[in-house]
Amino acid sequence: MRILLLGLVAGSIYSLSAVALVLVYRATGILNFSQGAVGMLATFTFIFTAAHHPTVLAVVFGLVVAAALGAVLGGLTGLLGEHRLEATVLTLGALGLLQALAQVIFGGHPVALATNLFPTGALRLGGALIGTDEVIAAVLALVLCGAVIALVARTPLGLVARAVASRPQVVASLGLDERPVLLISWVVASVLAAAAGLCLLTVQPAPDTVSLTLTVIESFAAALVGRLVSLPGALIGGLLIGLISQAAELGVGVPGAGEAGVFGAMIILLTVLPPRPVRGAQGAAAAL
Amino acid sequence: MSTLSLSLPDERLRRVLSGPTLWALLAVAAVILPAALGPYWAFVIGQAAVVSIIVLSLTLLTGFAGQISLAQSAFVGAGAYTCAQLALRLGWNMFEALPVAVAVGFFLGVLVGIPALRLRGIYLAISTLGLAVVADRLVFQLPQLGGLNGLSLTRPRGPVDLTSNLAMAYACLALLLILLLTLWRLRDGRTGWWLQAIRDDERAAEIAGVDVALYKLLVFGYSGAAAALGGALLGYLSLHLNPLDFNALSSVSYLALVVVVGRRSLAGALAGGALWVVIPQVAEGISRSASQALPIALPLLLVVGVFFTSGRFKLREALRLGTA
Repeated sequence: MRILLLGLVAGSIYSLSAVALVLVYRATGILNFSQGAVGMLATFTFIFTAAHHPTVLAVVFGLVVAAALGAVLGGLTGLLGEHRLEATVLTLGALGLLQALAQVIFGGHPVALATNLFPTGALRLGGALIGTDEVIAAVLALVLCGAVIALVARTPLGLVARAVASRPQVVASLGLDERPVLLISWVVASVLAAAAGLCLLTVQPAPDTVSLTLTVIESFAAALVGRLVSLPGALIGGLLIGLISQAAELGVGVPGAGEAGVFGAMIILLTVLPPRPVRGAQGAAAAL
Repeated sequence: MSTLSLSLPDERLRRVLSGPTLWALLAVAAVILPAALGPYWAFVIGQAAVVSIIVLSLTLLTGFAGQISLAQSAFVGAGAYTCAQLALRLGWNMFEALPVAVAVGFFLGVLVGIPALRLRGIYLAISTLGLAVVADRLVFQLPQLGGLNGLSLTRPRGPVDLTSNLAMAYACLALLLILLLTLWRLRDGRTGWWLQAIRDDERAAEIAGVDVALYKLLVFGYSGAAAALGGALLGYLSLHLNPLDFNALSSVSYLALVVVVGRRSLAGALAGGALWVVIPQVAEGISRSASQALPIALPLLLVVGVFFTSGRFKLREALRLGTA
């Protein structure tokens, strides 16, 4: 039961970052390798700001850092135009760069959170104990996922975003400029990634930069459930991956077993549900 | 998509620096420099040679065959750990352990190649990154393999005495030379053509009668073997293995190197090795805390390099813009 609960908590957070990954991939055809790194940098900004300033201010500052990074990434990849594979490699470079910068700024050691983001306590759910903060983080992550799905499905902005994702030529011929939409996708996704990073603090109170950066792999595995294009698919995938990862980690009891479980799930998903080609992402036979 | 090659303003200078003259100069430098500059620089040159070997493993895989791998750190680590374990448990020396490490690398490469038969492009990239994370977290940090403290290695005394930095550097350079010649023959031979066919259009290659699956598996195997060789040599060169040296993110650095110096260029791989050791040296000259110079500089070069390789910004035009 505890494994189930912890899996769902971690899973809802993976859902959030997977939704962010899908948001960018659908609109631009770029798989953002650096998303975990953006979330990591925002989370560490939060931790270090929260040590000396009010928590709310720290949260806002962290999210602003993420938004700025998202805007920069969106701008740079926008400059590359239709070179989507190159843009993906660029996000890979951004991953390395942000990771190294975080090592310089924040140091290479795990950092414990000084103040808690959410009220702590213990809840008894179905015979197992779980932290109140973990439940709040999970609910918050799921609400944010729902909000993004509603935003894309119900609002005029979402309509344009869907149009850009499925028929970019039509959007262009209607005289609409797709660039603001793409940039907004990058910024929103980065902020969501930051929110996911902050929520992850409840599960992982003393994170290190590398492990937060590499949560992009969990997000990717989760997004694969929706073939990288479906937002609800990413939501369900996140929960699944969370369960698999926690079951492997706690069930086997060896550090790294969770990662191995996620990797196995990813390979199976890639073979069973091959991702649907999005604009520019097809014909990638010659890698890079 | 063209490779990134430094276009020197002077065409004549460029012609001299490419081809036989360049290789002759490099060969002379490789023989003289380690001996002339003393043990510390012999160590640095040995390190450059080893990194060149690792970059060549990607030149083969990415440049020749068009496959992407972010699992290179796992192969490098596998090579190093195989040697360390053989030394620790069976008392094998480098000459006995090295072939085993290379074989292990080949085997693991083929194993990774199997999913690669179905995956391409970014999907291959992220799956191999996932594999590198598993190798890093699940395998290299195992307490039975030395845990976070790592393992020690000793250089062999016989049949050839490699205990000095100078001898070890020459050994690394010799193995680099063998690998270079092998890849040279391979690129210009029939296999090279077939790999290029696979890189350009897999389906067309299949129709033309190329056994795409076999060649992909082989190329992953050889790439894994070369990376494992690099890892093993790295272990004997630095005498100590730290699991953090094989973390998944170092794969990003290797990939950055091969993209920046030119994916298909053999000479570029040497430049990659040189960059790997020169950047920290330069950074050390500028500031004392230079340990992060490499992890920062390589991704930065990758980001900048992407713009040039995409053809959106031409280096030559940029230079002309600068002088005008």
